[in-house]
Amino acid sequence: MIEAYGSLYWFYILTLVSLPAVVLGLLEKRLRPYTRIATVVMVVLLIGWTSGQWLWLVGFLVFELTLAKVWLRYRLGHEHVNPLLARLAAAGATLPLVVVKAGSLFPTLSVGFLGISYLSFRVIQVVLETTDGLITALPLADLAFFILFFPTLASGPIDRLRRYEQDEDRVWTRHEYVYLLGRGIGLLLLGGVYKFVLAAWFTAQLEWAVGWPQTLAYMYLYTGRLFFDFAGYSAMAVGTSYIFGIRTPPNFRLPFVAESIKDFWTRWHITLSFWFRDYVYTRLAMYLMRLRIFTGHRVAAGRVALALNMLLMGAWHGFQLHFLLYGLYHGILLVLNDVYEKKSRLYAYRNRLAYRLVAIAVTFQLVVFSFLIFSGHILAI
Amino acid sequence: MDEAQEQQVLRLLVEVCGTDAITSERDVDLFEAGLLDSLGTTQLLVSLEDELGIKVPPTAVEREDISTVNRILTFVSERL
Repeated sequence: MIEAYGSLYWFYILTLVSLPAVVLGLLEKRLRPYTRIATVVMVVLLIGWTSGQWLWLVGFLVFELTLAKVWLRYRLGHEHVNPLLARLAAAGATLPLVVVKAGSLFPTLSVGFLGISYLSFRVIQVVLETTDGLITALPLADLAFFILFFPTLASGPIDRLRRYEQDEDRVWTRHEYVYLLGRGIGLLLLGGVYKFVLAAWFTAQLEWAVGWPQTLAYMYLYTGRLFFDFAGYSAMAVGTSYIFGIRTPPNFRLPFVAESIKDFWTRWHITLSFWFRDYVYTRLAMYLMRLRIFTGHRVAAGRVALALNMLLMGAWHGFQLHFLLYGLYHGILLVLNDVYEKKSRLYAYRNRLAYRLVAIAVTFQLVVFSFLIFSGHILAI
Repeated sequence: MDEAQEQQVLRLLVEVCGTDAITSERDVDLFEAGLLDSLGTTQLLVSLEDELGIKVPPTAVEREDISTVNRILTFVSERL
């Protein structure tokens, strides 16, 4: 069992596994068959045989693939979906994740396997889009390899099936592939610097201590580590995907120049944030807007959905109190952000340079404080 | 789409965006201008379904399809 993008050994294996893909890409051959072989090899290396994780993974796949197929079959046979069944299908796809998250509250238990969250997000998305009639065919192997695609197995980014398949079906011209390869290598290098130089530096400085200057220093250093570690991993995962001809969407886009909390969530852990937006928030908001108590108060319904959405995103990190508080904090900030945009006259100056600079500074402070909550230390003060 | 339906969509948009300036500037990117966001998009989808009977699953809507007033009008007329 080796850590993804975590050691020289991993990069050695990755280079060996990538070389045939590079050759095939440059020869303008279809990459899909080889990508699938590489995925099987890498999943075995990532999960390993010695721990019980592979049993969990196989069980998970059998359960989720069966559910997705059965649900598609039902969906194709029915013009109108029974809303209760639709909710059951979504809940079923989420069940393994909930079981594992709840199990992680008990340190003596060892449940789940590497990447269960990210794999679950991909299946839930497929089930919901099947309900919506957007997915009308699900060849078993296609779905399994989309879920298992090794560059993004451990921690995302979270791709979408319909987007992924477009890339997977393509045979890139040499010119196109050279661009993908160059970009992939560039991202791997950038991610490497982020993770092994910058995140490592922040980690070395990081020491928790109570007291104002120390806690403040911890807050900024922790934010630095969190960003460079995960943005580094994400860049390497996206870079590797490109080498295999899959343009996995990016997870970060200069998050610390966000001009509002709303803007921040279009720049930080983007594929998770957009996943929650599309598969939780929008659906929950539409549901609430139709409830009688929200008649004539659609904006209020949308804000309640916003807060609940972020609380759920917090809970996804773990059911511990500090994660819930982190989610709630961002939920409340997003609601206040919306109230501010709709009510404050100041918002009219949003395109002025001075306004933007102040907005960036304020947003940054609000964000780093949220990571102090996230770190779990604040509850111990 | 007839005149009345177009007026109805414009009225919904003014309500969602909070300004009637959008009716005269129909090619402005509403997301970039800070006039439309996830909440606004959701409000719009619910209103379109309730008032015009257009049912669109949320992930079937690309932001590009509804980024300006003119694009929204095209989007609606294609689905009426």
